[in-house]
Amino acid sequence: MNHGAIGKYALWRRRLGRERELWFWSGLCIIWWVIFFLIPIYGIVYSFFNYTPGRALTWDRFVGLKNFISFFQSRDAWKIIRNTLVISGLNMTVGFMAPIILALQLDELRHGLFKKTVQTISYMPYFVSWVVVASLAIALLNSDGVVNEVIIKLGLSDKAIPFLTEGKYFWGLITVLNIWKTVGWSTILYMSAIAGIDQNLYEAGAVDGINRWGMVRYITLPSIMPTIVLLFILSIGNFLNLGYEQNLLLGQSTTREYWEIIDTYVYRYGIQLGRYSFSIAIGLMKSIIGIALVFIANGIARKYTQYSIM
Amino acid sequence: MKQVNYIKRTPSGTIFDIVNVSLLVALSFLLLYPFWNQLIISLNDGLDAQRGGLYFWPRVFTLGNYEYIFKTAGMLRALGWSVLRVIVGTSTKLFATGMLAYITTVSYFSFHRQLRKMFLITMYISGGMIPIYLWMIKLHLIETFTVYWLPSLLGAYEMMIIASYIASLPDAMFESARMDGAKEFKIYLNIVLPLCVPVFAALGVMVAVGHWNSWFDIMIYNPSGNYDTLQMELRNILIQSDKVKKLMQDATVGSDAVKSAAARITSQSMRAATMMIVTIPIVAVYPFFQKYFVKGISIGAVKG
Amino acid sequence: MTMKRILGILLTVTLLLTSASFAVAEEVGDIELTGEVNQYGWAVPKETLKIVYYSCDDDATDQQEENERLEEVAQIMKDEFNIEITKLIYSQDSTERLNMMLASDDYPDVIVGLTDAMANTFIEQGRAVELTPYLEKYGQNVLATYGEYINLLREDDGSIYKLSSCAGNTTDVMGRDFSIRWDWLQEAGLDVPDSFASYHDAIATLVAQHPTNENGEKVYGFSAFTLEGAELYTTPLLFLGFYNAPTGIYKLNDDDTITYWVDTDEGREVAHYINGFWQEGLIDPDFQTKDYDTSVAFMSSERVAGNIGTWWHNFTGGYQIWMSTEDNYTDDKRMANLTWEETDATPNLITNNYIRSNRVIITDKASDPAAIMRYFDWQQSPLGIAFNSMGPAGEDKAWTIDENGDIKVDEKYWYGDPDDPQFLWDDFEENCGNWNYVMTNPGYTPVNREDNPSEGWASPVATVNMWDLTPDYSLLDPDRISIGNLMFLYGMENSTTYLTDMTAWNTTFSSEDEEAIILQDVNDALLTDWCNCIMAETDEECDELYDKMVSDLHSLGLDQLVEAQQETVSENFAKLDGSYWD
Repeated sequence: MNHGAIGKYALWRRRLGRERELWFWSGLCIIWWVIFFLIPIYGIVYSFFNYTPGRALTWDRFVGLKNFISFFQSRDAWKIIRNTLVISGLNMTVGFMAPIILALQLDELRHGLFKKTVQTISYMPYFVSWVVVASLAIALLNSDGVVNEVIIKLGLSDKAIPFLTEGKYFWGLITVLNIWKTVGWSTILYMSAIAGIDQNLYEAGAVDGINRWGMVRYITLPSIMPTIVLLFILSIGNFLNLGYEQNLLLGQSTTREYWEIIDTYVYRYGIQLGRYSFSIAIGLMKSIIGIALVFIANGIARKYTQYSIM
Repeated sequence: MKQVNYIKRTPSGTIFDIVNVSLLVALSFLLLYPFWNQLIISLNDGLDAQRGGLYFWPRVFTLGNYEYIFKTAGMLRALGWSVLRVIVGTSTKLFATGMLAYITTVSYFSFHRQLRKMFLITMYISGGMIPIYLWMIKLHLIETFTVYWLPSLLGAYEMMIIASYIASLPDAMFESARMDGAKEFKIYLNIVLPLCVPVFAALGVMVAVGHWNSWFDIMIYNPSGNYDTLQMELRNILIQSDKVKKLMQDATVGSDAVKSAAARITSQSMRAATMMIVTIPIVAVYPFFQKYFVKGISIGAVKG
Repeated sequence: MTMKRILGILLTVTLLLTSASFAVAEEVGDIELTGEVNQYGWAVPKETLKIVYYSCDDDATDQQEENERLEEVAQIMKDEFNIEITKLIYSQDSTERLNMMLASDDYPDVIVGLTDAMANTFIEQGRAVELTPYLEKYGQNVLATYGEYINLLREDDGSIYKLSSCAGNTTDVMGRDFSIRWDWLQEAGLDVPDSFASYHDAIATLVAQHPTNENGEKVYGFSAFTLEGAELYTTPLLFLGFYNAPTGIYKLNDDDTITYWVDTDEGREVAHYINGFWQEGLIDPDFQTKDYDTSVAFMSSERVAGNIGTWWHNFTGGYQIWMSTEDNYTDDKRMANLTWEETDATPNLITNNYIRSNRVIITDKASDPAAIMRYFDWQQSPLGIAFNSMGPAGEDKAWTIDENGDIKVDEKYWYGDPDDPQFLWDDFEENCGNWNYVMTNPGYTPVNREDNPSEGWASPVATVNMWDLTPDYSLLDPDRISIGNLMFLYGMENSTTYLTDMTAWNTTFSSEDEEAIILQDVNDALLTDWCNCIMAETDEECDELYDKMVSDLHSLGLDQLVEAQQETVSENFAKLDGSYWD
């Protein structure tokens, strides 16, 4: 049908009428968005200048892309990027699957009190600060710590293994600790998703003769797959954001080429040295890459699976 | 959770159960131990704890670390601010973000996809601490209680999760309500909210803990201390004891720091005690929320 | 009269008036006084002096509202001084908070405790008031405190915009040392070590005699108490007469040039010396991972026979804990501090930085900088120092003023309270309101030691150091001395203080200087390579790794750093003797 100009206008008016209420509510949300998100965004402009707080921003302090480039000119830029990618990669694979597996394991428990207790214990590490975690980990893994004691007693090695002072162990160590700290907390959302699964599905499955493993494979997992995909895509936007605290605490001087990541570099060479524009510039770079990754991941998800988050 | 009576008991299933339970017990020990370790350090005399070697039980039991903390004036008031912040912050954020999430799922709304994208990118990009601070000054949100909940009212992360949850609910429910002439806000209140209890409970815990633990925004926006929450008070105590420690690490310092060290409160025991004070309330309150997302609901019942 | 004439007259009058006001402004006006001088020597002004200041160093638990003792002091300041001071404290990192203040153009009258770099930022942006005319008129005590060191705070054109927030000489204490378990040493009947070699032998013997502690854990010669092994090169080098500068350890050559330590022969010798310990298994293999708390636990559980570091690690890790947690404790169980002269060069075991690294500025928000300077000035007088460091005078307070106007400190300062074994002077002082509104702390400045500044530092009412009041420390009755002071007694047995004035080596890099980045790079690489070097298994490996360290540091820009340090040192010496401005 050819609506014509007047027809289109009428369509638009009708739509507006229908959507009037929604436009009202989203209008409020948009106002909030403008106030608390859009306006402060002007700060990213500082990354193109040589900015010192207190000094007005004038064109003679414009430096273009210098702040961005200076990161790549640093001696260890590629090592830093490598470390960031490896640690983040480990987090996004092993670290991402761990809470899912734990949630499924918890779901298999029959005894209500035991299940509740384990789940409560599982998120306690989330509240232990990294300072404490690091000092406990160091105490355990030192050459006279419990772990080495056991290893020597079991005859797996005749000398203590330098977990903390030899670089090649660092990536594994930091991943294990990351998982330890966050796995319980991350299961909360998966538990909630599992709780929302229609019980009738299990009933039907039992009638069809599916065994326990089948329940998980054909009912539980597919039902929480939207949650899994969603959380994966959301977290991929933070691919380059790892936080600097744990690496600084666990890293030693002899393992530095394995633990220096973008965040620790920006902290030590940007913030601590007062190079404000530099830190903003790197932050901006990470943001852009993060957002791009989210949209790419979503595009892939939409094309090859039926899940899309936008 | 699967209803138990649907599962047939098999030998392989029992073996799996045993393995599963043992793994989880071992895991629980690993997860719990550091927390336990901090608990006993907090109940141990500070100087004695510096000798190390505390594993399962305090050696020189004392409540001194906690006494020292609670002796600090303003603890009760700080607790009040914390509770107020958690309640106001969590309820407003869930309610508002829930509404936002719902709007982004309404397919006939022509703007719903853009709205979702707009909020999604807020998760990954920010203007930086100083521009935000200057803007907060302009908005007169410095030294207020409002700064605790208004700037974080609509959370993108929570929006995505709630939206995904709503999207999985059968559309027919909404359609029939609309055909009955219900306004969208009424639908939100009467249909969405009750059905979203599991996800709201889960997110509620996370948002509440976020508010309970927050101190950075207080430090920046409410530095006068008039609105200090418990976490902030505890952090101040910790900084003070850490400060003595930092002075100590300077090789050329005079004996000022030494004399302070004569006190039996050490930063190590302060850290442990503050961690307990912050965490134990959460652990105590959590089970009440847990039941909402551990129990399953049957959509079929709602349909009827 | 025509309009033109009226305008002409108006213009002339205005011109005259403005130029007159300019002339007046260049001169510092007089402050109106009531004529009354209070018991602390402060001439009370007619108008209440109001100061709002931000103290960068203090932390939030000192916040005024919650602190009764400050209220009492504030009341006295109002009544007896006619001064109202508001102290702002933030629990945030001070550089962050200052940046926020700059960005929002909202900062108080005075800022105390800024870093030098931050002070320079304020000055560059024109936000700090020029202090030179006020110092001339009202700041004679301040100038007297600084002496020639004030030149180091001058800008290139000779004007003064910043002061130090604590100017004065460092307390005369041991500084860095080699330490050893005193009771074990006595048991073994060995002589007190007085050289690198004898220290090595003594440690080896003691460890052989005490291979494990009570719990069967292995005992080592030493660990690295903090700083990941940096003390293991710093301390020996300082014994050899090297200088501990802000950008690293340097050797001062005869022709007044400086060489970074890794480029010297002595540096290599020290590496081999420490590596020698490692090869014999005398160094704790986990020395890198030790943080402060773990080191204290390590030392107090008796797993080290010695320590290479500073005098005060031994106190916190050993003596203090053993003394307060063990029954049947005897004083012999402690780590003894040892110093000696290894070569002809005088060791430089503790550095004196007269102007420290923190600054004070009066900002352009202050309405009456002259009056504020007068307050600074009073703070540097003896009674001012007493008031600010020990609180108000009084019978039940820490000090009194006797008939001659002299300062008398309560005897509990040396002997503790005979009725109260838990008495701590710190608490007593604190309850009397000490260190309350100090803005320019005169530090530990000698009052009457102009002739020999290296002998005994003290302010007449020092809360830290009582040499001026009790010149001979050994005259005090050891049974009545409090814990902290007892430590000095022991420390001085086998060690000497070697205090070096390093004020001229002060270096500040701004955030835009390349040297700041190079310094960070160099320090990172230095620590990594040094640790690898001393962990070598053979002497040849140690040499190889040492060479690697040298080449790594040079490729990171070490030469540029050394040049910058050299330049700063020459500049500062020129400033000190005034030739900089010729």
